[in-house]
Amino acid sequence: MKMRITLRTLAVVAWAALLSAALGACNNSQGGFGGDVGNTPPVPPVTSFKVLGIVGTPFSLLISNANASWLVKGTIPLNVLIVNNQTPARMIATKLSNDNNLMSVEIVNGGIVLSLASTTAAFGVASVQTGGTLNTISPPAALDLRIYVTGPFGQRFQSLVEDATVGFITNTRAPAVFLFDQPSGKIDGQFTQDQNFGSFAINMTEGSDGSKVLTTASGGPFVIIRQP
Amino acid sequence: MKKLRISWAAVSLIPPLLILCSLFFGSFGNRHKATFAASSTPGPGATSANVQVGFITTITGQPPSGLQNMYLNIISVRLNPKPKPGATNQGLPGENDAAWKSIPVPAGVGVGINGKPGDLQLDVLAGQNKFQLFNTAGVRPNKYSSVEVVLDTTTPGSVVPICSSGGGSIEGCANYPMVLQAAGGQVSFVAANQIVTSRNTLTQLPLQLNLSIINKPSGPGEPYVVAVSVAPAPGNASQFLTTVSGSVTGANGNATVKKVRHLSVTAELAGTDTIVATSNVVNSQYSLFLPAAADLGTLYDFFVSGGAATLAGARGISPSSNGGLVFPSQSYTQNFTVEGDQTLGTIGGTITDACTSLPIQGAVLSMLMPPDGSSVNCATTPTQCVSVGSTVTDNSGKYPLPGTFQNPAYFNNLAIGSPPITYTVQVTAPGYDSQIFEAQASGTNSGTSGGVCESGTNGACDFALTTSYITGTVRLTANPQPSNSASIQVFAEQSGTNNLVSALALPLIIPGGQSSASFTLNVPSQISSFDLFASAADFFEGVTDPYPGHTIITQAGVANAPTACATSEPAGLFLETMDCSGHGSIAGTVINPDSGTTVELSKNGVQLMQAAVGPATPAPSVGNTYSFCAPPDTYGVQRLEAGIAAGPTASVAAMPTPTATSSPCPSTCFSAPGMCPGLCANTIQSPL
Repeated sequence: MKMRITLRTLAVVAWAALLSAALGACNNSQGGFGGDVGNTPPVPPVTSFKVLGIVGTPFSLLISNANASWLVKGTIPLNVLIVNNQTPARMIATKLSNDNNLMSVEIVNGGIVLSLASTTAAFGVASVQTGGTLNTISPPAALDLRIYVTGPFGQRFQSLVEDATVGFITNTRAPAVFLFDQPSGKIDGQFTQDQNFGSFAINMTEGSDGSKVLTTASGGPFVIIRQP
Repeated sequence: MKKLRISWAAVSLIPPLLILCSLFFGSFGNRHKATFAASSTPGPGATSANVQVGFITTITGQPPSGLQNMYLNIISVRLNPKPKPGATNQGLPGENDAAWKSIPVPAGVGVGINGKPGDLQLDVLAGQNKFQLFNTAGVRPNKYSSVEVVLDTTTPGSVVPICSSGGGSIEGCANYPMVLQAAGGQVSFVAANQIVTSRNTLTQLPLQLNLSIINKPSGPGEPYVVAVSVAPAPGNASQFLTTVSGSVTGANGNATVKKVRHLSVTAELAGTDTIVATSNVVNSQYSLFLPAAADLGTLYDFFVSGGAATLAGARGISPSSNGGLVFPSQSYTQNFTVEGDQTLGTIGGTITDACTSLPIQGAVLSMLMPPDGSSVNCATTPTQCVSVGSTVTDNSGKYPLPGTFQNPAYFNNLAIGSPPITYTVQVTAPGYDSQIFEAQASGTNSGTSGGVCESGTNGACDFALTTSYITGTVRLTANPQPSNSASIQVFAEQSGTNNLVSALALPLIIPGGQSSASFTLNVPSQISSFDLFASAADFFEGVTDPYPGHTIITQAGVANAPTACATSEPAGLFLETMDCSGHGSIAGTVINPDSGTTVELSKNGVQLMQAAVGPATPAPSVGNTYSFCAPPDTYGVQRLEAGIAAGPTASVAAMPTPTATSSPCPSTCFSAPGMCPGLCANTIQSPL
């Protein structure tokens, strides 16, 4: 009898776990987290901006949407995601190497490449935009908070990044950076690896160039990072 | 009954557990596929065969010299063992056939969302006289009959024509979309001879893509209609490819060991970190298929890494009677010896700005090693050394950037050695003086901490790079319209050379109603003077213009600040204003060129851009045409051989300025209220 109750309990727990996972997958809320993590309403898929080409090629990037702009420096590849993006948006990338390496900039939504431009010129410039024409560059993001997922290289992961009012579900690859503008309250993010390639290396930064680290997180396959 | 109830309770556990298992572990089922998708080099799959795909291209329907750029967006290449020889149906298998095996765009070039690959932009013009590698990936060992190239139907590609000679109906040097004539995004063929792939063997799959221009645009915003077809490359592309193989003794490949790179041999363009191909070492053997120039040959650097072994490097093939060069249709042998069973450690740290103490993002660190048999001192003559692994700094200036379990960062997989091995590392960052330091690996084989550097801060491998600054102002002839802005980039190159060393991290934005903006540019402090130029990024028909309508302003011989961290404020910098003269193009021919021939465009002695001498004749012959898209202005053109000036600089003939026109104004470039440049015209240059 005791065995049967135990098995029934296990079955209930298993079904509950399945339901929890299904809900998380369906409504993108992920659920199950108390406090200020994971309790924001879901939103439509996020448009991402990608800088691709010959791995390791350095670049600087000016990215602007209707509300704010950001300066991002890095090396190929990099996925850039704007939390609560307001189109139109424009990205101007300058290759910072004196060679003929390929640098492609892409705007992707739902796995479809919306816009694509490339350069192989030394210190070449490539630019793309989406959602119409952005005639002017918006002012720099006020309270420029970012979450960088620097590795493991090529790791595909799901994420929920959010402030106090809005949460965004994404599925992308490392290295990636999530950009916030005027977040409501504190921000946080939870990251789940699709495959276990290695330990996450994540940091949260404040400031216009992403170099002032507020906090870091590592490990995997599931990691949470919160604004201190 | 009790047993039955227990059984039912137990059975009730099965469905949710099975589903949960599939949810949690389902992704692991795709692990090999994902590994290969994330790797541009052969992956260590236990059962995989590796296929290296590359393209050559041909264009029909319009003379290639009439185009400045042509890009085709490729999603993947697929292989299918059907139809089997002798089968009744010898047609292509269906698009949804489960037997298709996909070779995606390599990591970092087009990784996509949810595992969907992105696009590789194939340079169709360049592909006419050189072999362009697509990717190397693992497939199941098999005999494949069908080959399919999957094109992006949403964004198939783009075309930039040069301006029409004598005027035309459409604007030149502007971007036009490409539309595929046939519905669907696949082009395919059934191979006459099956493509046989074997476990742990690299198979070459050279393809020829032909683009036929069916319709040209007749007005603004209209597309180029293009028909694309694919076939096996003639002669297996042997006129473009060479084979380099050999042995690596002293260590074994270890594909299944986490946190240790697989023992592999990598080929990179000599003197660079640009990796062309990598081959895993299996049974102490490796093999590489590499593009090579038929006339001058190609020089590669090779290095051995991974396998818990020491590093080895070579410049070119040795011994060789050709200076180490490789030529197509030839096979070469290059053997290496390493020492295995090494304890691995890390060289890691932080790279900062010596003036501000802020982290430097995207700094490149290259591990240098003298080529085999050489006693070169890499600390004093780095250009004579082989880069045997590189990494970059992250947003907080830390290095190395993390790799994966199967493919850790080079800087996390360094033999510590006994006695300790001393490595030479070069750090470079645009706008900064490069620095070379010596380091020994220590600690574990992960993370950003480790290494002993006598010259580093407190013995750690933390380094600060020096820089100086040049300030100035860029001015426009006419203010942008109130609802618009102008985006300007400023570049610096070492005086008298085309050695670009810096650009603004953040382009200048001149908002509507204003006509100027000031800039401060980081430049290396150890270079005494620079040539500066500024170029605009305009909009045309609502999208970013690939070539500006604003003139490019230049300033030669700008003196640097006397010391590091100081600022130079040169008087009279950029007195010329950026005028809106519209698009323009320059085209010409070169007499008896070879694959090392390029042409350079300059203004006031400042070198602006280079053009390859492209093929007017079918591959593999080197053609003799070149072209530039540059706004009408006063320029010079210079022929270069292997980057060295050959002959005098020739003045470009007077370029026609497009006649100003009123609305509708397609560009954000204008010089007078309501007036915009009209259609551009081409300028034909005398042969060089």
